Amino acid sequence: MGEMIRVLIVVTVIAVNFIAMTELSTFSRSAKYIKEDMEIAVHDAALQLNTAELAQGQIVFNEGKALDTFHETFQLNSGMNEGDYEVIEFIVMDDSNSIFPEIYVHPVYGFEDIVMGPSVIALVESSSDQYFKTRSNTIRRVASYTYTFN
Amino acid sequence: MDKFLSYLLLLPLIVWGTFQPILFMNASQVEETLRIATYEGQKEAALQGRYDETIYKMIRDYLVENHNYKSDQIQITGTESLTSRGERMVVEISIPHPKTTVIPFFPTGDDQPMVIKRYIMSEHLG
Repeated sequence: MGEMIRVLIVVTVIAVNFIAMTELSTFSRSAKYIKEDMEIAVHDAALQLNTAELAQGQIVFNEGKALDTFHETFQLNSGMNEGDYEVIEFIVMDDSNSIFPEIYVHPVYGFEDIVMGPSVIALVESSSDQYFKTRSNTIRRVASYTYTFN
Repeated sequence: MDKFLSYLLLLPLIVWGTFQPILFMNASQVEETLRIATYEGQKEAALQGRYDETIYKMIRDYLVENHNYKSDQIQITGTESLTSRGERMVVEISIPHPKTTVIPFFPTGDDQPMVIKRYIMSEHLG
């Protein structure tokens, strides 16, 4: 009987460790996958240019269309619906509002980057559930796509 | 006899506790590798405006080298017609599903292939 209890304790410890590891792994993979899906979504968003401005040699984004495209591509690739995530920031920096290179610093989240050309920057927030708990981990990721010229 | 019976009764738990984390980690790694291979293929296809055999080979080689999959077990289909800038292209990759449970008490879907389908817009100027 003593032997049985000892083995049961060992197996329980293994099971608890396994669950903790699964939760951590799910969180880190979710964060990574969201970032990858955002990279593709900002790429697609950055293709939405104002053609009239382009004809004048200026790269200016069609901001409304770019944001719609970002949502469409992100949802297609991530499998998320509108309520599953939130686009906290969607910033377009182009020839109409910036002179490059420009240092961009987010006023709230503090991320900083030297923007070398017309860019689309997106900041998305989502969450990953914690097992056996009611609260969830927040996932916040930023992605950008920049037109660079040699 | 008691000791033997104890171990015998606990054997399924011991087997589960030993192998389940390993299988979970392996399945996670396979999924990550598949996503990385797809992502790299997507970037290349966006520039070219379509998926072709060179891109399929790049994806296939990545999976074969990193997870020792047999090349003929990897199914890849994608938009092979030249796609104009701003239009979406799709790629679908299917590989045999890695085993995820030691003792399959519940249906796990391991018999179904692991499929990943991804979209990206073409950058190709026609």
